Amino acid sequence: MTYGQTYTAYRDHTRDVYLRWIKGRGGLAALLVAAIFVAATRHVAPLMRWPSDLTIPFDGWLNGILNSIAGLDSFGGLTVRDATRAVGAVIAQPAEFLRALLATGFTRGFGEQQVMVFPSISWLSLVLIIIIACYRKGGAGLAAFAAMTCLYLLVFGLWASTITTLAQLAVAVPLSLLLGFSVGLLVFRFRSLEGVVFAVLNQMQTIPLFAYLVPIIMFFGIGTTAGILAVVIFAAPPMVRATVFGLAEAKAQYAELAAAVGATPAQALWKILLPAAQTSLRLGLNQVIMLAFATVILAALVGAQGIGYEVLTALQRLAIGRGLVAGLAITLTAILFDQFLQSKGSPRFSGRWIIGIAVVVTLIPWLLSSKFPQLDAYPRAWTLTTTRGIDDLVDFIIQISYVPISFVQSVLVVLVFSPLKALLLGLPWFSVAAGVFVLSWKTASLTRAFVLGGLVALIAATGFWDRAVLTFYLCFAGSIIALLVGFPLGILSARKPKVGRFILPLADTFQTLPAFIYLIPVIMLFGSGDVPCIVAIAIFAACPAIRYTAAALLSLPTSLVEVGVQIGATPWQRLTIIELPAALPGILLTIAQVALMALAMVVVTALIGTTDLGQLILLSISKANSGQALMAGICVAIIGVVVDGLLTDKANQINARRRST
Amino acid sequence: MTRAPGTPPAFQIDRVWKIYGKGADALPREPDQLPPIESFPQIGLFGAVIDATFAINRGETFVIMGLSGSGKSTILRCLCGLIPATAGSILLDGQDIIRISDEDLRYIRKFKVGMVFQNYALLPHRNVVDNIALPLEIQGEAEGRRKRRALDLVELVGLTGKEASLPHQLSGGQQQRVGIARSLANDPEIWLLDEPFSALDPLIRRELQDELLRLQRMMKKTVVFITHDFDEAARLGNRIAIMRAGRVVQIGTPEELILSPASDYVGKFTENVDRSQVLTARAIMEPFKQAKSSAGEISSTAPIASFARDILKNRQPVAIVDDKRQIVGEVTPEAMLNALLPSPIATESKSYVELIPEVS
Ligand SMILES: Nc1ncnc2c1ncn2[C@@H]1O[C@H](COP(=O)(O)OP(=O)(O)OP(=O)(O)O)[C@@H](O)[C@H]1O
Ligand SMILES: [Mg+2]
Repeated sequence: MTYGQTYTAYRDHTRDVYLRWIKGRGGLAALLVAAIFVAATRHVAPLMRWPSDLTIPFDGWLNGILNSIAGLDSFGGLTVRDATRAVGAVIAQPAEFLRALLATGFTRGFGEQQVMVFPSISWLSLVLIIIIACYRKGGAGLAAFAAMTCLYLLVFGLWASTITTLAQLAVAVPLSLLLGFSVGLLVFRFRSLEGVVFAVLNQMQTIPLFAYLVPIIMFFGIGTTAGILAVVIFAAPPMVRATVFGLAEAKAQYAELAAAVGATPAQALWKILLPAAQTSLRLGLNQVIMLAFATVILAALVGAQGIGYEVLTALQRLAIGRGLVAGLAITLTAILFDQFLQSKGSPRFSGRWIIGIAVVVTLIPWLLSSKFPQLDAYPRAWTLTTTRGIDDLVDFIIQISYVPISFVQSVLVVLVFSPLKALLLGLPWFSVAAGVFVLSWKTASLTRAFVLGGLVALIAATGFWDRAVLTFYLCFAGSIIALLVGFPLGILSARKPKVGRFILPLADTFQTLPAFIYLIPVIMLFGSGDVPCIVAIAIFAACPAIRYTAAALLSLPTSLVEVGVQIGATPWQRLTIIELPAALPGILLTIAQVALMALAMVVVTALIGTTDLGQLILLSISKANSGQALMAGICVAIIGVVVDGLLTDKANQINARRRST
Repeated sequence: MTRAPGTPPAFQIDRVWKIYGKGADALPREPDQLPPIESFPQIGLFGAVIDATFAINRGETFVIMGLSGSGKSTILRCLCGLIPATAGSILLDGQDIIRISDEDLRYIRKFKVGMVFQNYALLPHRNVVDNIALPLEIQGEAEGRRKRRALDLVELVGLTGKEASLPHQLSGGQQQRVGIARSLANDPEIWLLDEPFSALDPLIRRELQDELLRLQRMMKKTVVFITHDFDEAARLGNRIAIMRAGRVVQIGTPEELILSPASDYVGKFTENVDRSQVLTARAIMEPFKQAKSSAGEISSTAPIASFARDILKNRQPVAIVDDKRQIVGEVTPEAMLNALLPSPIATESKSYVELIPEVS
């Protein structure tokens, strides 16, 4: 080898080593630059926190807009607000009627003068009908579960409030379906709307439900109507999606057929496309029902009666025993609902039979009720009004868990949560916006970077920055814990089908429960402060973490898994070298999903005391400040959009790089 | 295929069953103790591989053919334990794949067996070199050495210049070359290929077949190869096994399968084969009787196509010689025509064809 060759080889070698060193430490270098940047901006006051005299009063503007709409003369001296309230009263009617028919009976007058005009259907009839329906759809197992649930509700005196909630659902669900289906049809008909409508729907669902409550109250007054409408706003979007998706798919398959048989557009729609889209539509229906069930509980916040109200009051009085009992009632009902919807439903007897049985079962107790008044209203004497035993148990659990839990709690707070919180609060808004901008620019495009970075700046401009940081902090801490729990369990479920068959349905069931429920055991064990909130958030978000992690791994091509086995990799090598890197985009989407779930839960934890955006929304509800509630809600949504945006952009970027030809 | 006496086969497959269905995991390992096959449908079982017995010799290219769903992939995967066989035994170097420990199985896969997958199964996040080096990484080979080996393989399969490409930047044929290189990274004794070329167009397919023949001439591995294409099987394979509904129904050289199919099912596979290309002089020759040496001589491995014209022109039997130019037989024009235009003159089953009774 000549000197020249040796030198070239040496130079190339050094360059390689050097480049590899840089590449290996690229992250470190970026971190260093970021730290210096943060430290520098911290000293520039307007970049640290948006100057308060420059705060943009979005909330005031929103209030102004809403008020002027509400006060608009619609016609003949009636304002829009009067009109909406009149409509609202109508919407509540069917729910009130059902409630009277099924649970409370029809009454006239109030207080002392209240007289029963017409009794409700006997509780016994209702229980029997529920059991029979469950038997028909899901078999003996489901029927037994239904019987147990009904018994539980009756014995703990929660029957009437549960029926009230169901009555609200009976109005909210059809309304959501109708609305969702109509909008879906419109979007399908005019495809140019699709982009806009879907974008709006996405945003609507990231704004916490709470935030809608105030403007709804403003237009529709407090009570059942407001509750129902809040549910509709939240539950209709999946139906829109299901309709558009189902029809589009059906069209791709059957459009030619429809043309070939010479169907008119209307015939094609009703006779060919809609029937073909059935599966998708039914899926939409299921989603609507479960979402409606999860949110109708929160309607209690705007004064709707029902089972959610029981939990809310228990939470407010810190009556944990009562809260647990009511919470379990919601849980059981939710599971029953879910199982009922999910079961295949091989009809065990025909529809005519069902009607016959229903009539008999309804009429007999009703006719007998003059002789046996117990059949009329479930006797109070048969209920367990005290929750003494449960309270004792709760006290006992609190006692034995107090020392270990408060120890863990203090350690976590001192070592992890407080430093994290301080760190996040110490970040200048400008650095955060700049960081989002840079990340987004690297993964997506300059436009996207301006949008996401601008949204962060917008939060700063509203003056809610500190609250937003706290919301993010809770969401972040909760997500991390959820992922720490969810990743291993998800991986385990994907790896060991036997374990998966047990864990995955459990995770699904937990996910169908209203977010509310998670608060009860958590305050029981952790009292107040950040920790119970974070724990509740983590539990709530762990379910999607498990589900999506497992799905990401299971959706890998089997041959990739086989390659690992075939070349003799150990399970750990397969996971770390082959499967996790290959599933990286799916894992990123898992994280995004977990963050969104956590964010939804953060707002709910405001009920047990936080000082973040969620609390601001709750405060606005009590002060009827629509603008503030909406603006705080929008800030929560922005956090969701930015976090989700960064993660999905990254996932898309990786996917694009790997896209198979 | 004749095998030198004394060398044990690479694989000795003895009464192997693979059964799917309810409770299939709990079935006994002994073929004799399995429930009778007639009862399978009633008790919810399904035999994907049924009582397979055969040997794969060291250094031979053994091809498995059969209709879709006949159990080809299943049996191939059983050979390296990717799918645990239900009953029977699979001996590889005296070790029973079905019964050895996970640790030993992993060792075998790491060092003895390489596999090429039909859909390539490349890791999307790794470039060509890193994909090829994957098995070495799993073995714990140092980075420098595995990179060097991977670069050698890149050259071997003709992908020089594509070292840093990601899989999606390659054509299908190039991706399968990476798959082939990866399967050779651990220099395996046994090379399993499950329809490696099915997803490719005919030209690239032909090219990769040549590639495979070239590699095999250099490496002399034991190859088990699945294909749907009899021409491909005949080009690459020493022996071909035909499977039907889980059973191995016939095993033989391409010529044996063409000339004496055990059943119509086997006949169907060879029906459209270009016989003049596949059949060689040796396969159709008769004992030497009368051929005049003046009519020339033909190598026993020459395909019919290469001498048919001459024979027909002279209308005389021609002598056949082996590679030492010793006369081993002769080919008559009639025998040649019979071989090229089969039936109604059916050829009888020859005794050396391994025939397994067919039950459908
Ligand atoms: N995990 C499984 N569970 C149940 N049956 C299976 C399973 N895997 C394969 N089978 C069945 O075993 C039979 C053989 O499958 P195999 O994949 O070996 O077919 P193949 O001959 O490779 O077909 P192809 O040419 O289509 O690849 C098929 O009938 C298949 O349905
Ligand atoms: Mg196959």
